Amino acid sequence: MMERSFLVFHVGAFTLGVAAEELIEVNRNLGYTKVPGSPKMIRGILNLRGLLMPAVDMGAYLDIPDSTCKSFSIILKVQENHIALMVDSIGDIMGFHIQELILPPAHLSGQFQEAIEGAFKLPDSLLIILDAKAISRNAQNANGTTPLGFHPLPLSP
Amino acid sequence: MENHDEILAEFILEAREIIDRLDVDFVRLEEDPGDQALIGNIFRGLHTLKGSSGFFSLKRLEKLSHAGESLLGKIRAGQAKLDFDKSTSLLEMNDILRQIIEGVEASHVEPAGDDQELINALLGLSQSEKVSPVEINAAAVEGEVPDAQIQEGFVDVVDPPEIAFTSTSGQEVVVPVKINPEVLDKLMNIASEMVLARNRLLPFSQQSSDKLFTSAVRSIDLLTLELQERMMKMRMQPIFHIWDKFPRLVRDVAAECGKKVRLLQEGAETELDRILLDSIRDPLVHLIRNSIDHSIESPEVRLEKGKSELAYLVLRAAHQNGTVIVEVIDDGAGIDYERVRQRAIYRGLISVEKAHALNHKELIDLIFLPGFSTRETVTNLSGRGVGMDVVKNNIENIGGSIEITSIPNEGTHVKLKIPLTLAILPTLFVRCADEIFLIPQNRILELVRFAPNQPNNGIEDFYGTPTFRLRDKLIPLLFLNEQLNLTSAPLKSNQKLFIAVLNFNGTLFGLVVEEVLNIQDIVIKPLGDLLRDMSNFAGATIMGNGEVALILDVDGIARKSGLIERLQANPIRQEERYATPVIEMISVLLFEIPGLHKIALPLDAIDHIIKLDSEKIQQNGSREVVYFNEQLMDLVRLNQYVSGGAREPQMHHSRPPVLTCQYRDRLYGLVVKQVTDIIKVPAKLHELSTSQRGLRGCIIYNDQVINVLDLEEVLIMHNIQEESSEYPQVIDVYLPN
Repeated sequence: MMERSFLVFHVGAFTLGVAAEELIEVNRNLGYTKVPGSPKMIRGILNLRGLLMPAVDMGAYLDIPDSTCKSFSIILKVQENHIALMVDSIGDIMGFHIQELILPPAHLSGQFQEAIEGAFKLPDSLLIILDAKAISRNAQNANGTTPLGFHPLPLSP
Repeated sequence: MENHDEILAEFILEAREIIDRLDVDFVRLEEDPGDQALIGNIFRGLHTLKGSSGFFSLKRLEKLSHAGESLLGKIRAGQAKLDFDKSTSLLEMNDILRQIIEGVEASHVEPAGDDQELINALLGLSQSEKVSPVEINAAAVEGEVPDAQIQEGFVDVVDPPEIAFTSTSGQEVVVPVKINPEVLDKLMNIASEMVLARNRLLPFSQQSSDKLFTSAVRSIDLLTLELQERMMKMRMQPIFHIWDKFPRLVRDVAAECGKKVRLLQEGAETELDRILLDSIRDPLVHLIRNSIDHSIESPEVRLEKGKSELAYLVLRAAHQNGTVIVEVIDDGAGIDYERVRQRAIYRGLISVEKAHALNHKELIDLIFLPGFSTRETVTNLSGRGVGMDVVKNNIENIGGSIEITSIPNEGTHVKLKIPLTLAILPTLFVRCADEIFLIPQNRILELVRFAPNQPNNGIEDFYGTPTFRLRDKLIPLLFLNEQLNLTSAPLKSNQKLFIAVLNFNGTLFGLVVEEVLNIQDIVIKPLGDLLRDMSNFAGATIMGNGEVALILDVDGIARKSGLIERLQANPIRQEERYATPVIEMISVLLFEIPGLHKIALPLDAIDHIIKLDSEKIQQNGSREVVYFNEQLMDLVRLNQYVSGGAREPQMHHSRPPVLTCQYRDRLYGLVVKQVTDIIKVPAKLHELSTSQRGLRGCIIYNDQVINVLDLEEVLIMHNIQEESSEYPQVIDVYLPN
């Protein structure tokens, strides 16, 4: 029985999680600088103790309408790249057995299919586990100003 | 298997070092064929190579190095003497060895090829009757040469040349540490963040009365500074890392041109940031080729002129005022100014009348124009379509400058001024749509203010491209907010905007921004992989308050805007483009002192512009001094020395800008009221009818009078005052001329 820990956070009405191994820290009210011409889901770049990283607006990324994603940022280190996920609020770190992961339905396409690893059942809702690698990869795709869901994304080398 | 790969990688590293070293040694040996120690070194190097290649069963490498070793064995034994033919063959062997190693590195297998001819030549030269069968003996790896020299791209921590080849056996050698440059960069990054964190800490300690706390902060303060300094030093590498290759280059180029040249290197230990080192390599190669090919005469001509047959080419490097000066000096024929003039006319770079009015310095400026080449026929050495304009661009891209002086029949002197490190870049802070952006200062030719909503705004429409009439040039404009898709607040009727006049591959264009803030040295940080496609930005920096600001990529913006294509379709005759270097322009810093508003000082006279905290000013007798950059800096309050300066005892604001400059090896800080601008102005001074104290003259710029400060006079006055504590009435006596 393998157990893994996940950081739980909220965007709009959704409860989401990322693997805790990739987590560096959670921060509040980090200032960021807008980068003109960058994809809509990239809010800008922020400075974490001298390290510059893109801030990904998770509401825009997952196309969740009623989200602000203003004050909380989750700093992840994904394959040597740092990335900050801007979310609405932060929950706990929770452990789950991997066997309990429910795989996403096959008809999800594009960005969602890539980004969603699966879900765990919570007492009253579902915890959707995101794949940070896919987010980091999609954030690199600079022509992301158009909705990403409907064409295959290039794999990172 | 992995283990094998690792050993092979180590061998390749070692082989490269040996081969690089051999290049240098062969050329040195040619100059001094009797040097037994040198022959021994070469022999040992080749022997090591041969032994190791046997171990990896690299047959080609082994046979070839064996043949070379046989020849060297004869030379070492005194049975043969190294002459031109022999060293040419040996160098040729070295080239092939290098090719083989490169092949092995790429594919892990020896590249195919037949070296029999060369082997025969080598063996023939060694006049040996019979070659002994090739020994394959792994144990013959005599005296593993420690990897003192590290492959390019790695920084070596231990000084290499002393260890290499001397420590063959017996003595213990501490294995040098190899560090991946990435690790270094990261450490560097952390060190600079430490400095920022320390800056945030210092105010607390100043307010605190807790002795223990303040002393702890003080030690952190000192340690941080030392840490940063050492980190900076670690990135530095001595210039001999690139000079190493030049003796061979000079020899080959000279042989090809039929000239006799001796290369002298001075200051090879001068250190530079390793990235800069890479970027000056090609320009230097070009300059050396130019000198040998164009300036240095053939031996016969030299004898006719009464010079020695052997020409000298001097490479010199030295630190000076926080920059590195690299010079290439030859004692050849120098620049033929008449030919330059004719050539420029022939190439249509300048009109006949103008050309004849040029002096030597202005003619040299023509050499840097694109499309200029004095050679009728393109030689395979210097004429590769790469002109001096490319050299100049390369040097300027790293924030350096190039200067050529030449005296006919005495030689040419090329002086490169290179900043110590690339990581720090002076930039202009501008504001556009409420965001701050940075423009590298070395790209800005001038700044112009204009009111777009006024009727006489100077803007003309040129086939759909807005252009600004600046003096007699038409400058196409790009609006930064449009280029970046930002929405600015609507302009007020009398609002003024700024045009930064920039140069994109010889075409001038203006970038319109809303506000110009200040100039500051910044540390460049890459934007990282996730945003690497953003061609509008060259990088980012972290400002003092911790916020991130983006550095504009001038070339990227110009390219992306499509401006160049539009200009090609409907060319604006920017003919002044070619005349610009002819009317000599200088960059001056414009500032105010109490009582006088427009004072200028040539930009190259100034090292830094700093904001000085009044608390830091200390008294040294009657002088005001500041401890700055580990030196004592004299503060000079300019208003006391310049005619028209108001006699205010103290400047009213507590952080006055201070311009630092060097004069006769002493550091001076000129206290001014406000720094306003950097502009390019004609260098021609209008002399003042009755000379004004502290001023050299004035420049007319856009119908305004700009006073040019006489730095020397001011500093002399400052020093006299110090000695006599009396204001001098006549100071002309002390002027050098």
